[in-house]
Amino acid sequence: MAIELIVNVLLMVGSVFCYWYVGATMPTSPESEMGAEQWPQLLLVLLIIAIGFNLYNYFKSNKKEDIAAAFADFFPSVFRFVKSKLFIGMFMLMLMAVLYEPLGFITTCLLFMIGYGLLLGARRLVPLILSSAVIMVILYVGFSVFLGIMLPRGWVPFLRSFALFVESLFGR
Amino acid sequence: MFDLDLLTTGFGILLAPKMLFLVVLAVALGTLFGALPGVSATMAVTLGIPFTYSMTPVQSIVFLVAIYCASITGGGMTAILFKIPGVPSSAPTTYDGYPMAQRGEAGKALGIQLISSAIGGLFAALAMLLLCGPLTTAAVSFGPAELFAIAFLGLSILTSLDTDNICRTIISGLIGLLLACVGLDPLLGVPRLTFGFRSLNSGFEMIPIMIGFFAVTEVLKQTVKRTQLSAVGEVKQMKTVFPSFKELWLVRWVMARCSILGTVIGILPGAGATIAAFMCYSAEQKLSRHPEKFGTGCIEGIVAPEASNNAATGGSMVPLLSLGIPGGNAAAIMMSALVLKGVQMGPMLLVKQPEFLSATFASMFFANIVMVLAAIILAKIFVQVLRIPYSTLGPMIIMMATIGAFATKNIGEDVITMAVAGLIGFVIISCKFDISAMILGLVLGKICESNIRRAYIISPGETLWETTCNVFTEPLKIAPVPLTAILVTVCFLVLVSPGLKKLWDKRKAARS
Repeated sequence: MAIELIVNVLLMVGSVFCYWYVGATMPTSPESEMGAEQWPQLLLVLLIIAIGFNLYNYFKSNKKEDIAAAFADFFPSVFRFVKSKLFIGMFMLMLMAVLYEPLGFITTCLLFMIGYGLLLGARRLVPLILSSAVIMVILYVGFSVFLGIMLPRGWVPFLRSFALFVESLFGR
Repeated sequence: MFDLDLLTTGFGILLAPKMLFLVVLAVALGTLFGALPGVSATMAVTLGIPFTYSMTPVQSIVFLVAIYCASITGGGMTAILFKIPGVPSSAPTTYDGYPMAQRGEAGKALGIQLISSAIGGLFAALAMLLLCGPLTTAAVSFGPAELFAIAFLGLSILTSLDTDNICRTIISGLIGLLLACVGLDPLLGVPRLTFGFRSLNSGFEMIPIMIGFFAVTEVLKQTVKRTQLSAVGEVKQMKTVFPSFKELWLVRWVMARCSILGTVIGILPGAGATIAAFMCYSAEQKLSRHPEKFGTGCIEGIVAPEASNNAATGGSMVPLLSLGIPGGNAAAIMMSALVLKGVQMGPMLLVKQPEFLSATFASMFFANIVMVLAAIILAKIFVQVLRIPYSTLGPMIIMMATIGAFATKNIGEDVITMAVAGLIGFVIISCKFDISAMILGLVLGKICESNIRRAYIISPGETLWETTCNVFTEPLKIAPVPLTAILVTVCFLVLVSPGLKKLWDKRKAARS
């Protein structure tokens, strides 16, 4: 409940700022034409009205005590969220996205498959590692060898050498 | 536009050995993706994108269309065997498919589902072939104002679909439209809403964002709350049993009505297979002489949703191919995939490259036939594949999504964009906003803006107000009616109708 209100308020503030920003940064348009700033400004005005209505609905459908209780529980719930599977999953996802190019496809895929598999409740490590390796090979062969899609080799020297070695096995 | 040469071209493209293999692969992948709970038809098409990078634009649309058709059918299999719709449009199939399976007639239910899906799909493919030509001919003579109004109609219909959440859906659509404004201005070429970031000059990359929204967000949702599968009976013994001709003859009108209605609903921008399936199920229940049998495992209860949801796939291709306006999420993804390959979407597409229509028709025609054969041969394998734990499937979906995002431009930033879009998508859903509305806004944003602004340039006036009046009241060259004004009025009515209906219901309730 608290996050919903926060998101709406942030959207409102962002919309007002963007309305001012786009007006200030775009060249002045001719009087009879729709200029570069007017279309986004029109959308922003509608957006501000819609968010205002949504906020009105929010306060109408939620009791004051409930909102206050949601905000009192906000920081504890943030801590709970940080400890949750979802947050760990989100963190792993971002980490994978950032490391995808530096570590290359082979390493990132293998590590992510094992890590996320454990997060999703896989208990037996050996079958998980084996299935992750098999899927990694299927994806690599399917996309890189058969479809000719470029997969990152990695920037780390020995990982890059290994990727080049794998590519040489498939005659690429 | 419709001649035999077109069909020859279409089937010529399709019957090339490589293309034939790709369509069979697309059908197998689509059926599998569709059957997996948590993988919607949209996500199936999204996951198909990486396969298309090495294809020509025509091959890409053939491949993606085959995946789309097959995934809708695949969803029905899980609905019958596990009471969990693989795709949302298969939800009404569970009402009668599962009770039939519980009676020990799972094979027969699957047979009816496959035949209905194929007939619905084939009908829609034919309708698409016949409708696209005249619609394109009409659309070619449309001016920018009319094209803006048609694009806007797509957005306004979407807002009336989720009637319990109108305000949030409007906000989502507006955010999508606003995000489409980021980048170089389409007419002046100056950076707009980029906040000084040069990387934003080309705007947001559609494919990584869509992959993030539809694939990554879904896996995150499943991380929190997973869909558990529990099959009815002994699925290892399951064998597809086709209905007799007599049984099919009894449901011929149900099949015909639902195929027509499904195609019409599919054509409407924003409305898609899910709405078609629910509407047809409900309509057939009302029309039936034995409505009490619905929900107990009757054949009509499977035929209605399955024929209509497959028919909607063909319908959704009509506005995409003839007007360049996606009829739904899956069509929006196909459009983005084609735009990435440099294809100019819009009414001129079929005029300049009619092979897009013929190849799409050939693909749908072939996919709907192959789908039946594939489902018979692979049914048992699919049932086993459904037993793959989500701890393996979830990360695999993310890695496929990552390959798709990276291959857009072969840069790591796109993978980060995908991951961030996935996280934002999760927050959006948690705050009850509508991702579909946002994506449609994002896809239609540029079409809306460039057309409305061009309309202002070619309809001169002394002031902005005078120009606005000219834009909306000028009659169309081919017809003596101000089409823009009519369409915008329809948009307005569609926008306010859910609110008015709510008010009406409240008053009615207060009176009674």
